[in-house]
Amino acid sequence: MPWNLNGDTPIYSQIIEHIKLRIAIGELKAGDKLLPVRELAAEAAVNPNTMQKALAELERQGFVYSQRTSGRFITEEIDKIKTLRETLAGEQIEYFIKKMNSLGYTKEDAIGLLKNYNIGEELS
Amino acid sequence: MSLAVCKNVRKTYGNKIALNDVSLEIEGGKIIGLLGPNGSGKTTLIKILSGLLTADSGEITISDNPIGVKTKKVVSYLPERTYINEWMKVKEMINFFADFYDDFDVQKAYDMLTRLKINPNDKLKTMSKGTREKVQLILVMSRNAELYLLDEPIGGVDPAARDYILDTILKNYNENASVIISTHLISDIENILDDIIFIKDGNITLHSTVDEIREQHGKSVDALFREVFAC
Amino acid sequence: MLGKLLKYDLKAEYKTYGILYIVLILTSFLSLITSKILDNYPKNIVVEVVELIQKLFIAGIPVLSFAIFIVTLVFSINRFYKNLLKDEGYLMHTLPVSTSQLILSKFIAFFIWSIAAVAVVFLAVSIAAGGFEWINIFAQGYSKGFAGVNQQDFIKFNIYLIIFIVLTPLAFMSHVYLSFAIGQLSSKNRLGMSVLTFVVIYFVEQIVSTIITLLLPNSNVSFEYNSDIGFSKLTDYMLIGVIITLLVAAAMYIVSNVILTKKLNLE
Repeated sequence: MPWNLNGDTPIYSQIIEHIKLRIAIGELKAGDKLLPVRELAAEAAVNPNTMQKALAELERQGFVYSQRTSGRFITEEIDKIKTLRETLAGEQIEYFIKKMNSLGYTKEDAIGLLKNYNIGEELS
Repeated sequence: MSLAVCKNVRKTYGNKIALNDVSLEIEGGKIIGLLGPNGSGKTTLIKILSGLLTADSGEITISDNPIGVKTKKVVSYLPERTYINEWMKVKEMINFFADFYDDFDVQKAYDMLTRLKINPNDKLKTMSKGTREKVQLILVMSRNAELYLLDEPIGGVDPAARDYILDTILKNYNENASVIISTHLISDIENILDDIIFIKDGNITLHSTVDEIREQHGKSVDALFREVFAC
Repeated sequence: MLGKLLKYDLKAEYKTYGILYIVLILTSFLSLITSKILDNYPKNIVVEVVELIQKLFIAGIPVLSFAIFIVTLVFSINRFYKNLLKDEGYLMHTLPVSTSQLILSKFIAFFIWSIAAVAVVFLAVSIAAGGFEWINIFAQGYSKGFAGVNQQDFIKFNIYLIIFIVLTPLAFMSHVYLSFAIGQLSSKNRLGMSVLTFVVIYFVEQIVSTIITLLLPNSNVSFEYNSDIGFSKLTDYMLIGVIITLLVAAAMYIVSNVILTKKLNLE
C-alpha cells in the first residue's frame, strides 16, 4: 500500500492511521515483524524521528509491541485487530450515511440503494 | 545537547544586512529545514557555519568549538555549485576526500556509486551536470560528520534524482548528527524534516517543528511559507 | 596536512610540465646529435640540410626554455586563482586545514616548479653543449668582468645576486597573491579588481624604491665598478636591495594570508 501523506495534518498522525489501516486489511498480520525505524522512514520518505513518534504512539495504543533486541512487531491480539477493522468500517459507514443525508436520503433509503447497487454500474 | 549555537550573529555586505543579530541553537539528531526566499540570508548562514565566511560579530560554535579547522573536521558541506576538481576521476576524488577527512567512509561511497551506475574511472569533466552533482552528494554523505550543510540540494534536479537525494539523506541519518537543508522548495522535503527555521531579510522569524506547525496552523509548512512570504 | 595539499598541488600539473621538459631535453639531444653529425661529415647537400635542422634545434632551446619559465609562472598564478578563489575554493576552504596552509602549499609548489624549470634548462644547455665545460667558460668570462675587485666583495656581491634572483619570482608571487586577496574583496569583477590592485601595487613599489634609491648616499654618482670602494658600495646596495625585497615580499605574503583568512569572499 503506497504512503499517501498529505499536507494538512501532522505527519506522525497520518503514519499512525496508515499503519492501522494496513493492519486492519491484513497487509500487516498479527505478529509480523516491522522494518527498523530507519528503513520504514526511508520507505515512507519521512523523518526517522517522526516515524519513531508514530511507532511509539502505536505501541501506546497497543497495536505494536517491541522486544528490545529483536525489534517491533504487530500485536498478536486477534481480537484487537478485529475491533480495529470494525472501528474503521464504522468510520466509513458514518461518513457514508452523513453524506447520503446531506444529499437528502435517509438511512433506509441508503440501505435500499446499497442493496441494488453493483460496483461499476450506474444507478438506474 | 546543542550541536551548533549561534549568538547574535551579524553579517553585512556593504549596505545590505545579510544576517541581523541571529541567534539559534541546533540540536543533534535532527533534520532541519532552513527555509526562506532568495537573499534571505540562508546561504550566508550556511557559509558562516562551514567556515567560508567570517561573521562581522557574534559567536558561533559547533560542538563547543569556534569555527575553524576543528569544526571543519566534523562539518560536511554541499554547496549549490560544483566544487570538485574537474580534471580528476571519480576515484581520485574519493581518495582526496579520504586523504583529508578521517571520517570519510570509502566503502559507502563506492556502494552508492555502484547503485547509481557511475563508473569510478570516469573523469568528472566528461559527466553530465546531474551526474556530477550526484557524485558531489555521494562524497558529502559518505562522511560520518556531525553536521551536514546542504545548500539547495534538490534545486534544478529531476524528480527521480530528487527522491534519490532525499532517500540518501534519510538512509544516512544517525542520532548524533544533524542535517541542515537550505531550500525554497519546501513541499518536496517537508516530510523528512524535523525542525524548520524560517528566515527573512536576515532575521529568524520562526523556529518550530513540522508537526507543531501542522497542528497549530492546520496547514503544511509549504502552505504556511507561501502565506508568510507572500510577495 | 600541508604535505597532502602539496602532493595534490604538484599532482595537478606535473604532466604538463613533464611534457614541456621532455620536449626541451629532446630538442637539446637532437641539437647535440646534429652538431656531432656536422662535425664528422664533410659538407654536402644532406649535411647542409642537417645544418639547417641543427640551427633550428639550437634556436629552439632558448625559445622552449623561455616558454617553460612563462608557463610555470602563468600556470602557478592560474592555479592559485582557480583552486582557491573560484568554485574549487568551496572545497578547499572547507577542508580541515588552515588558510595559511592552503596558500603556503601553492607557494612551495611554485618554488619547486621554478627550481625544476631552472634545473631542466640547465640540463638542456649542458646536453646541447655536449658537457659541462660551458660552465667553466662562462664563469671565467664572468669573472673577467670583475677584474680588480676585492675578492670578498666579489663573493658577497654574487651571493646577494643569487639570493636576489631566487627572491624575485617569489616576491612577484607574493605581489600576485596580495592582488588576488584584495581583488576578491569586491563583489563584482573580482578579476578586474585584482589586475587593478596589481598595477597599483606595482606603481607604489616603483615610487617607493625610487625614493629609497635617491635617499641612499652617493647612489646617483656613477662609480668605477672595478675600483674597490665603488664596488664595495655596490655590494652594500645589493644587500639593501635584497633585504628590502625580502621584507616587502614577506609583508605582502602575510597581508594576503590575513585577508584570505578573515575576509574570504568567494563568489
